[in-house]
Amino acid sequence: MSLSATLSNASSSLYVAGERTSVVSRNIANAEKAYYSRKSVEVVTIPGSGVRTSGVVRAESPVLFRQVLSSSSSTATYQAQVETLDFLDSTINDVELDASPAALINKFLSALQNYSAQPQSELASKAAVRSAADLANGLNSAASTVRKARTEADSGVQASVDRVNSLLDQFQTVNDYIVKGTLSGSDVTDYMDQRDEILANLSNEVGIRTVSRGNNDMAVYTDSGVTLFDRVPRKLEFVGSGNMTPGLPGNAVYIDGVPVTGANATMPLQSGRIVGLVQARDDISLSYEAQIDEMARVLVTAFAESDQTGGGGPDVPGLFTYTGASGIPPDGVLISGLASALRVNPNVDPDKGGVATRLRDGGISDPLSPQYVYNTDGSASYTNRIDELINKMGANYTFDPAAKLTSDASLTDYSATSVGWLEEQRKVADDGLQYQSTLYQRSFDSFTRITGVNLDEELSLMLELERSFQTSSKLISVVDSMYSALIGAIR
Amino acid sequence: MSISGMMRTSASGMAAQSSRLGTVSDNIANASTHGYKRAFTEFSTVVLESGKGAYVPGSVDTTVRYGISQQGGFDYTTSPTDIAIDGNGFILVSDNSGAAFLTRAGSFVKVENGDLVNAAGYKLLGYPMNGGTAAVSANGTTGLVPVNISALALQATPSTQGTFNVNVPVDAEVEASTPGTVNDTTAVYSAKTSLTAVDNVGREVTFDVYYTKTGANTWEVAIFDQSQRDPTTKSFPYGTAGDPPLALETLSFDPATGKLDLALPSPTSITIPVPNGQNLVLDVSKTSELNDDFLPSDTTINGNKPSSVENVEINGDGTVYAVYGNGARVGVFRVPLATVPAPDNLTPGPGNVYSVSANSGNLQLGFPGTGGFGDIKASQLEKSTVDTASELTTMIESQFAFTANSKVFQTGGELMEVLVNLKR
Repeated sequence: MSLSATLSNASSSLYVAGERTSVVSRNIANAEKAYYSRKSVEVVTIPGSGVRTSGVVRAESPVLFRQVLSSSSSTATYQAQVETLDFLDSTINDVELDASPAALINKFLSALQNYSAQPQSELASKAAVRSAADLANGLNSAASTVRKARTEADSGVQASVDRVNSLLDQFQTVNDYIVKGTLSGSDVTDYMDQRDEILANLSNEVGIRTVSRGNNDMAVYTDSGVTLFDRVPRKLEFVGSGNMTPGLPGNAVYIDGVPVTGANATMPLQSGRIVGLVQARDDISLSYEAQIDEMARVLVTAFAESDQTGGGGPDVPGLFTYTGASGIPPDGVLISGLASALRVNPNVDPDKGGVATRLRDGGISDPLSPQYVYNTDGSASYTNRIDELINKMGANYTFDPAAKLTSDASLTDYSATSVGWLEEQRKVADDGLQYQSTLYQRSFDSFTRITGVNLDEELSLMLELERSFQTSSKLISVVDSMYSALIGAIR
Repeated sequence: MSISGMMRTSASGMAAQSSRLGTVSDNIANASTHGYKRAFTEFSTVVLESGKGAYVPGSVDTTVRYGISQQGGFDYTTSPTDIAIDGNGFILVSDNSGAAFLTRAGSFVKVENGDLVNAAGYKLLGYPMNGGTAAVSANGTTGLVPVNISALALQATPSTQGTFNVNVPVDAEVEASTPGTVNDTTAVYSAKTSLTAVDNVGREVTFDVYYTKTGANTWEVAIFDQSQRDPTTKSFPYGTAGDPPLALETLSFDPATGKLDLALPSPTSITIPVPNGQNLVLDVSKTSELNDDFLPSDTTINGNKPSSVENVEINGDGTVYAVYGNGARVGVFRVPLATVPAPDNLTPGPGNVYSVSANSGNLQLGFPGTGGFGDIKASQLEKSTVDTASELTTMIESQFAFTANSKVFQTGGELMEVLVNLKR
């Protein structure tokens, strides 16, 4: 029975060559696809019956894949921070307008000095008040930019949470396919690639760790150990904070009932976009907001008017006041939201029917009462009050340490330090991003080198398969001619 | 009279060769029939008493033999219900009247009523397992029923055991009001995870698992039913504040190794009474206390949600598995193999089946892979044992022999004619 055996061996070889060629074509077609892993066919010898394919396997590198996941999480953390910081940067970095609080403070100071040089000039007085109004507006808009940045980060967290939830649902579908397919012995390698891609997308949003189990099943945990997926996905819960309240951190993200962000987090997340966004929303933005609030508070304090009659009346807000002001805020204590409420007192603002020269003469707080009037005889060349104000702007004040800057500095220094602080934060985040994204690129490259498709390899394999196919076909034609010879022998 | 004897002898020779050619044609026709065993002829002499000096030719007697015990090669198929036997033994099948036969043709497919039927229309027989093991009756077909896979209903498997190993951070802080002692919002825990089990009716039940350090190298594990949690806090209290957890254990670790201190002794498993389910025994013996974050490392729990049969598989030991939609494999039948002391003497029947004859001896049954029986190979079919080339050779040889016999007959006829013509 050896001729029939030859035929069946040759045909099994043809079958195997065909199967392997189809896998080669799959590899070539997907060569450029990220997270596609090279497939190969396992071939086994069956004693006495030629060869047979036993399954499709894929090239894997769990260690490198883990590295890709962790570096992609860290990259996403910094990426999210840089995005928010770029947004905040617009408060200081507009070269054209030069509208940073520090620049506005300096402009206002020089307008004051100019006014001091020509106290009788109505133009100079109006210019000084307008400059003050610019400063107040600048701080208002800086505060609103911070709030916008925080709100944006907050909705970013919401988007991330939604994405993670939908990715986890996809993960469940694919994972179920894989487990079922593995049990029934079908080819699940493409699904495993798909699952890797889902994991990579997940790691962008939140740092993850995976645990492989029997039948190619997989459980997913956050980098802090909270269950994300185990048979069924766990829900990420987050209630958008809406408009962010100044000075208060936003809502926390819950996974599986465990708070994972914020001060009360039991098992805080360590990396991923969500972490970066929450840090930007609650750490960086809050500190920056506190700095702006402190500048506004010190402006109110510096330009306060004191009782000139010796009656011992309390200091009252002068040029700079704020909505809901009741007296002068206490020293060194942060009042959140002050910057957005800061305004120039309308009594001195010529655009709002005020009198600009009150800047020189005092009595801004209450024009009807003589109690806070400095220039009692109405002299047009009175400069004492203006000089006093200029001195106060240069004097040192106590700042709340919650703003994470020096607690004893002059207003101009403080505003300059604040610019430097923001730039520093941005640089740190940017450096981190550069480093992590390089690391990510490197690990992704080496991961692809190990598991991806090498076209040269596929081509040479294809040639090899062609040879084997030709030889087997030749064998069949030889057997055929042997049979012909035998049949020819029958008369 | 030896001329007529010669004609008679050559006639028997022609008959013998035509019989042989008959087996050849049958063999060639069935060269591609799965499970076919080739037939061949053996000849023996018939000797007549001869006198001295006068030879009386006898004749040739033909016996048809079947190479039933010959092993065929294997063809690979893609159907998981195709089976072949590698080694001794036959698959037991029955026809519509219920009579049992033996066969090696294992191309079974599911028909509309759920039976597995081969190409010749015979039903596969097996022992129902009914959730337990199947018992073989060694010398008869009692207890065998047609393997029917339509009766397999939706099935849920409740969780009964699992493994749940985690690493707890060695440097965690010690907490006083632990979830195990105060089931209320004041409870403080070190780490939390959750696991999913399946209850008796196939619902997935999620348990919240709290790990809390209560002292040096001592960790409390408290397990609550997640569905009982407070809807607003999304955690404590579970049920009414103060209710005890579903399960509570205290694990002690050996500070030298970071493993469970078995000498103390520390428990190595936790039993969770699944609500409306079985007792789930979790093996936690590989829980460690090392300087790393909290991380579950090995978490497996058995049990499956209800689902219907999607596929049927036959294992090497003859177990017919129902493969459920959720991936569970449940053994539902076990297919035995049968053999007889002299398999070559079985009586062939239509459709590649054999039945027991007086010469074959009685049936012996056993499971594949045991006691001299071969293995069942799924997704394979046994090829015909016919080799066309050798059949063709036999045919040529037979043709020669037939022609030679006919020449002898012809010669005898001519001699007879000469003899008849002697009388004018």
